[in-house]
Amino acid sequence: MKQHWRLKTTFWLDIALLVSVCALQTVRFTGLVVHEWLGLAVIAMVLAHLLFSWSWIATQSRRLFGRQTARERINYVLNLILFFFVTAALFSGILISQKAIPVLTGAVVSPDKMDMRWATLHEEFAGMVLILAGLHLAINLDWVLAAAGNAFRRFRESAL
Amino acid sequence: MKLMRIVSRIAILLVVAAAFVKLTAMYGNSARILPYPRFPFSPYTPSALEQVEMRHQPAAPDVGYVTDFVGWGIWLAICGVIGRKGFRLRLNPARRGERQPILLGLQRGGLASSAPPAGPPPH
Repeated sequence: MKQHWRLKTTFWLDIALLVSVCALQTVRFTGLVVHEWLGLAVIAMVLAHLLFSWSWIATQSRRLFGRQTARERINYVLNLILFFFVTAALFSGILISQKAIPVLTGAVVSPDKMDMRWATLHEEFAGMVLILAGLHLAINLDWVLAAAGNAFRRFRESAL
Repeated sequence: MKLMRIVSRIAILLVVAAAFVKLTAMYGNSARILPYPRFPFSPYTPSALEQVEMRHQPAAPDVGYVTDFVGWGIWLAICGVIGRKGFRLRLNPARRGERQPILLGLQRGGLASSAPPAGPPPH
């Protein structure tokens, strides 16, 4: 039962992250207010995602400089790069925030004083996050399909 | 005990994230952003019109731009397919049977017992 709860939570968290990554690419669709608060919520979602995957992270980190297949090493490096770009996108987003961070800090921010350097880099980092998220999905597709099958089978069983 | 374990893991993740933030700050403060892209994905200075657009993003959501959202979803799926098919990314190597050709049993004697004869019955 506990395993099923964990699987279901991880699966829906991952779906929420995937939808959020796509939604964060288009500010006009979400609006700037939702864009910035959703970006901050992604910090918590990413932390939770990494905590749920901790056993894999710990095992692969221990093996990084030891015996490890090329596939495991590539997967590990890709995931590390994804974490880097997610951090970079969130950090640059915080630097150019006009709605969420000023509410939290009480600072007064003028859109005309926005640092265009960081605004440009934020778009670049976000683009990289989307590409790497696609590759991350490719790596874990077997797990996602199995978890989806499990989640929806139980959903159908409970509906009957 | 369990709480301590979670807190220590969060602390490790935050230390790594802090290192990445430091690296990003170093890159952001030193990168030369040219007025044109040098190569794909290289940052470049947006035009005056783009800058105004970036500075004054609408605060409220606009459902009319749902196609943008769907488009980014499709782009993510394309990246996933490229990763899966092009780079063969997966957690574990493909099972041995996964890439085997499907045997249709058309060789001599393969379906002889179950398939009806092609020609007219011999007399």
